[in-house]
Amino acid sequence: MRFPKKVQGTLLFICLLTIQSFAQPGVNPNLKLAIQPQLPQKYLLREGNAPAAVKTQLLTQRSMISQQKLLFNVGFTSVSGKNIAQITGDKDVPTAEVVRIKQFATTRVLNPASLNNIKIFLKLCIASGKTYDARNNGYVSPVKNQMCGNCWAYGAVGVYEASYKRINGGSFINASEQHAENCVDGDCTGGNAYKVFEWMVNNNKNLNTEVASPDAGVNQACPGGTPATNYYATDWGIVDPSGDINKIASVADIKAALCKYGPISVSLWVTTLFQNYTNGVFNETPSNYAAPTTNHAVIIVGWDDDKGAWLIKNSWGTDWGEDGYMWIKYGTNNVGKKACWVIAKKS
Amino acid sequence: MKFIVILLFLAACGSSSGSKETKKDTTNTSQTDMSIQTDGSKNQEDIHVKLNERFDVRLNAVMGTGNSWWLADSAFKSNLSLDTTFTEVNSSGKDGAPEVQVFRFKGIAKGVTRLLFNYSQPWKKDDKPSDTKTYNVTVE
Repeated sequence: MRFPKKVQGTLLFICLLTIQSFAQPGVNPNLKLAIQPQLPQKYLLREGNAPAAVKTQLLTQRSMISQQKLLFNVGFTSVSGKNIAQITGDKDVPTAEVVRIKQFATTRVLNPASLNNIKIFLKLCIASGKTYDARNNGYVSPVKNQMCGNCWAYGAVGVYEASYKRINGGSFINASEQHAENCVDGDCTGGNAYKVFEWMVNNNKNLNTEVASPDAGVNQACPGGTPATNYYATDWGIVDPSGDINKIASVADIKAALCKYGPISVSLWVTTLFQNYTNGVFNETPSNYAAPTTNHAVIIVGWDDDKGAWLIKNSWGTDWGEDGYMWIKYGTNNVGKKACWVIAKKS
Repeated sequence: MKFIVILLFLAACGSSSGSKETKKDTTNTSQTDMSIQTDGSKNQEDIHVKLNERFDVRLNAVMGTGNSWWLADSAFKSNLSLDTTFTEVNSSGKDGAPEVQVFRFKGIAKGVTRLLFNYSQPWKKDDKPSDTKTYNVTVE
């Protein structure tokens, strides 16, 4: 059966309203299970003005989400239906680099200042607890918006900002991802978050402010001199006890690290479905622990065992996901690879 | 009342999916009979394929920025089927590095059609693609 475009749009809106009504408490529980959670109002309103092709894409994705009883919703857009296979040929951090980092991570000793500082956090987070959200402790700086393929710099600097706040108190600092990008092995075409930590700690380098060095969306030369900030770090490390940067760290190890050091930088696998996430618990693809592929760096800031999920902070602005955050099921989309932490220097 | 609503729901969904683009699951990337590849280096390109021939459109994307390629419309469906889509991982091992999104089509009916791809962050309000690619496809 075919309808004119206007009628299609109206019917589509009715579809969405229908989904909303079925998702209400007290209505058919099976339908509720298949289509939960509700699409937030802001996405519902926005979708009313989306192009017809976008609406069709979302219907396809929602159908797949419903069939597979996935726990999240998609909104607003365009991108393809279920997507993206992780084909073989995963290229990790090179072996020699893994060995070098492993040697460092397994033989290192925290300096006394760091040991003293991490005690602050231990009091506020219980790794065996069912839930934790570092935002409630006021440690998580506002969501930012990356300008190129420099997610790794955001994954690192966001973790540093959280550590700085925990250790030094006061207002949030706004450190420069561009400065990190300029001075570290990595650029607008990709990088690894741990490189920022390594550069800061091993070379006693400090980050500039975002105001002084905003994200320009392009590669720039590393400036000479020392920025007029106290954004230094005293230690960094790999979450997985083996020190293997390419390994997906266990849930228990990530929780313990989160409580001990603060928000953790991790990598994961982004797909078009991930890009369309609006709310709920994202659980697209089981992680491939043998050969995990990743293409994006984010920050784990909490967990909820009832959801069985991590709370991650992304760097795609607040119009994505749940105001810039996502709940992602433990053990999916390779989340937890390249998990690492940093400890800010006390001013 | 609820029955009518469900009927409308099914009709609308059926109508939409019947007239617009849909995509298949993409876990199977082992097919090897594609004969044409275009690497997306040009913004507009002509492609000639034979009936039942497969071809790949390979477009550079940085998924870590939140951007990806998507087909803007379903105008191609009368001449082409979209067999699969997948992403080839970047070889650098770096997060945020460029990858390749692959769209695999098959010629299913003789004639001329058009493939229009848009590159964007799907949640952005202005919905304006930051890049576009157009392929004029002739199925012979």
